[in-house]
Amino acid sequence: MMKKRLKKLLSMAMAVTMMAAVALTGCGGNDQKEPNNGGNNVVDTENGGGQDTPAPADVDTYGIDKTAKIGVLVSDASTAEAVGFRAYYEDYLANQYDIEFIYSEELADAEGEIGAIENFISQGCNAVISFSSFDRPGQIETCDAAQLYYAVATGVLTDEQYETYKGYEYYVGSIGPSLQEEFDTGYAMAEHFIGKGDNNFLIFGGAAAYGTEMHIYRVAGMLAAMCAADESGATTYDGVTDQDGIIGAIYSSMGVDPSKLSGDMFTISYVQGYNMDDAWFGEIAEKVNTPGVQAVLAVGNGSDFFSAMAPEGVEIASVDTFVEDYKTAMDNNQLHYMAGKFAPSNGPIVVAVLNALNGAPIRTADGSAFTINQGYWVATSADECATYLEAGSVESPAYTKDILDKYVSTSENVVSFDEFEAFVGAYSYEEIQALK
Amino acid sequence: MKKLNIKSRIIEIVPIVAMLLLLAAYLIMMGDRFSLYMFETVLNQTVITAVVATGAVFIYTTGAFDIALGSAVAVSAITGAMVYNRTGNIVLTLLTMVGVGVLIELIDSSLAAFLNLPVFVTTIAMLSVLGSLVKILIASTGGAKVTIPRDAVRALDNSTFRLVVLVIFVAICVFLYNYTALGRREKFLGGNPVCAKLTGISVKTLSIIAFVITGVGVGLAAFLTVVRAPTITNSTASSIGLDVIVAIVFGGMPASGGARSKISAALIGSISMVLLSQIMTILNYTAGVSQLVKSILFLAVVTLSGMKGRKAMLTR
Repeated sequence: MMKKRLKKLLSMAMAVTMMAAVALTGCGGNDQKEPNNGGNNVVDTENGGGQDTPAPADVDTYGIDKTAKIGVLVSDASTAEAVGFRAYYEDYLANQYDIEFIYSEELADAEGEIGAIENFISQGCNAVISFSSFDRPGQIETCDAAQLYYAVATGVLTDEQYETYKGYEYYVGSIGPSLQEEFDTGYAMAEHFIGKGDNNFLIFGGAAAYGTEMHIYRVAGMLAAMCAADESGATTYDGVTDQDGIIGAIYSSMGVDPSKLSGDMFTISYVQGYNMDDAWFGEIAEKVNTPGVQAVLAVGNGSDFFSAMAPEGVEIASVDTFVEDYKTAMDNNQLHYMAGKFAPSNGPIVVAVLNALNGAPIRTADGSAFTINQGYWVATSADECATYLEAGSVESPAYTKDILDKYVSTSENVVSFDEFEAFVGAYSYEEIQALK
Repeated sequence: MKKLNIKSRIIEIVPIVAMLLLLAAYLIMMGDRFSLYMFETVLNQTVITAVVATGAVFIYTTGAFDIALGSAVAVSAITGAMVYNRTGNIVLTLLTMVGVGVLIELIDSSLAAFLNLPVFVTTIAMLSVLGSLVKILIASTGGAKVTIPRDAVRALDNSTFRLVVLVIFVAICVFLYNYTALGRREKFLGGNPVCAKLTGISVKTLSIIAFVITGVGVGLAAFLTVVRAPTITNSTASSIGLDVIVAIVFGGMPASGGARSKISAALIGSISMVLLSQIMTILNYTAGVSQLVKSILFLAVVTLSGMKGRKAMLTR
């Protein structure tokens, strides 16, 4: 009996020792990892960033003659926007460059994002582009620990996050509408309908409930436009009318309380969330059919209100991506205002990732990761919508390979931050067409 | 008899062999890309399920099961995070999570014990109640997620801390399970509840203790979840309940509990499940396919492990 117990105790002690040994081994893991670009330093960017140093002849270039595997984090895989973005990556860029895009499952929480990045590493990805924003700091830190390049598409970090992570070696940067751009977009949308004499709105706040900054800023812009339109000053939201005050009020309740809009000039109702279940569709159908509603101001996914059977006469406005559904809705006189992204707008971030993988990361003058504002195209007519839809297609994308190639660093030409910022910052339809 | 012993031994080592085969397949597929970081990844993905599963072995040994463990982890995590946001005290946060985990499991088992309901009925009810509680608690913060500052947990977000938590918890559970009367009684209860009752063993007390130990695991898993991703939403930990069931059975635990139950099943099963997921990921299969494969394996393992048990089981 005693012998048996001793044997069991010994086994347990051995198991504990083995696990402890493993833990201690794990401590030193970070120091021994190889970068996920395999140390492929094609271009020497030291001494001021961007000196022309010939690449060794035997080193392959990611995206050109060596496959770059890029993991793409998505929290939304089925909306028109997500489908459009994916088509541009997989059906256009992957055919033009030697790039393999590996998409995550539809992510629903921060832990899922980290798990997806770990899976990308298992799949041999060299970099990650993120369209998911449950926990951006967690994403950046996970990628940095794994020495995996990471970039944010269609969004930016908050100022506080940027200050924290701008010096991280593996944080490439972000391209997307700045938060001020988001505020201005919401403001312009509401202003458009106020100018037409509307005063009864249903606001769709989307992921404002999740603390998603871009949606909070867009909603704040809409409310600020209403406050500004009332010259008597009677219209306030939670007692304030300024940008910071309204944003603070929305943050404090993670949404909008219609009763906090004072004055009698405007009437608003509010719905938010991305549950996309029957109950959610029932709620938006009920609200859009409330008598008196003149326009729906949607921070995103305005197309859901088409299927929610918005009654005739209710005009819909949305921030989203130019896809067929929106053109059809504009043709059918349902959609009246569209602030849209265009799928190829996600091309430049891929170029930035390729440059980082090839040893020529685009950094600002002080060596920080970049954050570049890229706004929306606004369509208020079916013709404009059709034009923008065409520019977002895979067949004739706004950003073609020829355009993007000019910003892929080579041993002969290292792209600087200023050049890249000027390129991305000139995002209007006309400016991009001029590049062709 | 000797033939039967050999068969039993083979069945016992199958989970270990399966784990080693999965490990070999994983290492072969990773090839040159295998690094210590990859090892840490497997560890990180294993620990949370393993901690909950280790505690849950006590429940499964008695022949009962709890399908609400994922929701229990979520409620504990949210409550703890809310406490942190009010106090800024990480120790209090940990204690709150463990306390809430124990409380949930205590309520779960007490309902079954004192209302004389089958445990699976109360856990189904708890699954619904806790799922709603998650939504209510998150909504009470005015948003759709509860977040604590990353800085608060950054120092703990490493493999060493996770492993230390796992090792300590497993060591305590192994001690209670293998070296005290508690484990023997749990096995007796699972193997033959009628006989156990007749020998004077308090089924209610044993059941409550089993759930309380599981509650500690739930609380620790909640803390590890928050350390890994300090942003909690409605879907946080939602897959843990099913993962634990699959891991325990895949690790060699009889679905009916009893004498052949063992703590090691939780560890072996959790590691095997993560390795299987990693292999499916490397092969570029979607999570849906991965889940399908796990379900098929689950059915196969339950069928195989039950073959011997059905013949050997005493008439109840």
